[in-house]
Amino acid sequence: MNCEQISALLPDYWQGSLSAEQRRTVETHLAGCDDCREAAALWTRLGELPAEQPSAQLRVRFEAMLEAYQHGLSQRPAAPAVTFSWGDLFRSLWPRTPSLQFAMCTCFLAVGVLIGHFATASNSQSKELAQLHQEVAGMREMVAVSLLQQQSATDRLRGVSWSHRLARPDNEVLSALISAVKHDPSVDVRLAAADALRKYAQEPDVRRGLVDALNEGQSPLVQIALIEELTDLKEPSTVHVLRQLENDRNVNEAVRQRASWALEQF
Amino acid sequence: MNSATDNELMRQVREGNVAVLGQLFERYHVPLFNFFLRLTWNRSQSEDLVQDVFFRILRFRATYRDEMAFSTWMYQIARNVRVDALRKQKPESALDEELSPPADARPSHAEEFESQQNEEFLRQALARLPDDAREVLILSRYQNLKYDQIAEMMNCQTGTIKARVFRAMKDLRQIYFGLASGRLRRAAGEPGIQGA
Repeated sequence: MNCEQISALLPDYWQGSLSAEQRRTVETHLAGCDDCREAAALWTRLGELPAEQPSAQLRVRFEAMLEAYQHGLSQRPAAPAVTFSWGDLFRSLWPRTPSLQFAMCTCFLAVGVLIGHFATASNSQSKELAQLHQEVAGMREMVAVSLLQQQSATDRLRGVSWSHRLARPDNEVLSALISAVKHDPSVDVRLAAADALRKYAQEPDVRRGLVDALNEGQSPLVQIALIEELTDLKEPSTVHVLRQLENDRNVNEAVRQRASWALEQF
Repeated sequence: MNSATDNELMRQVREGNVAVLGQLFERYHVPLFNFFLRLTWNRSQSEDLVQDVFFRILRFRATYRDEMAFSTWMYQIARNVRVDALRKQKPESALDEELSPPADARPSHAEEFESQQNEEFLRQALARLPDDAREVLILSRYQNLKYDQIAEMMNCQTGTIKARVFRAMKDLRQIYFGLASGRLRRAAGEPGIQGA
């Protein structure tokens, strides 16, 4: 066998997953080929590079984070475990409230009409299309806001995921998301809403809302997520809140540590 | 000794027993730290990235699927964490100095010195590989991942991964011997090729 043929076997030879016969074939080739032998020797030497040990601080930080998360979980009502499947995902996106089902049907119908128009439209129809497009966007916003106001946390999470589909959500959607970050009883909804708002962080109102949420925050996990988000955004008004958190002995230790870290980033 | 498999532990985490994540941390924080360290050559950043991986495992625990090996899923998260970190920062320009042994710590014995220097060349050769080649090599050589797991993680064929590993080893060999022969030339007093 030449080098090219052996190249198909070498990676498996290195990981030790060849049959005895294939292994013999490779070893016969290696005995007569300097290049492949050197590459094999280098693979062995790579494995001999010693592993490094992280500092003890890593474990301390992990334990603080886990504790903060458990604290956050204990503050919300128990929710059934969720396993992922496409069927469940589809079902989960379908609202249970008849009015929302109607809104979604209308939305899908509008999208269908829009596609139909695109297929046949001439230039003179572009105005109508733009109007229709706007109506579809408005419908989506309505669905998002309605879902965000539902009783069930699962529905509110769906509202957050609907907001992701909006190219540019209106103020009502943004206010609903900010309010979810600040006041939603479910940690998962608060975290998801904070994530969703990252996309619209160029809006001053959104930034202000995130800083307020950090200031008012009751769940350490959400506060840590907000600190990271606002540090990424380099929002100057965060510094004042971070200093307060860092110095407040009643604040969770993990949050205080993250606040100190964030202040260094600023 | 706890013999529960990674997947069993992760299932418990997904179902709300999040304290069990501590056991997965014990098993994986050092390999993960070394995964990031060999990609970034920066200790404190690598620790931050490990912390971020475990944070995301908690946040996205509901999306863990039984049919995927936990390590595949975890390294998928680790890759995403690194991509996000890269977006936020400028690329690392050189090998972190803290990884090289300080001069006074180097052994005086000639053989030991040579062996340490070869190790150093290997580290440098690894650092000079293009990012994607280095990543696939690290995943297959150090993280105990089979080629089909890496393929699943990167959403491509197993054969593609094997070809990438082979190419990466060829490139690594070339860089490594380039560095080693440069040293021999310097030792023999010949001019190097740098700046030629």
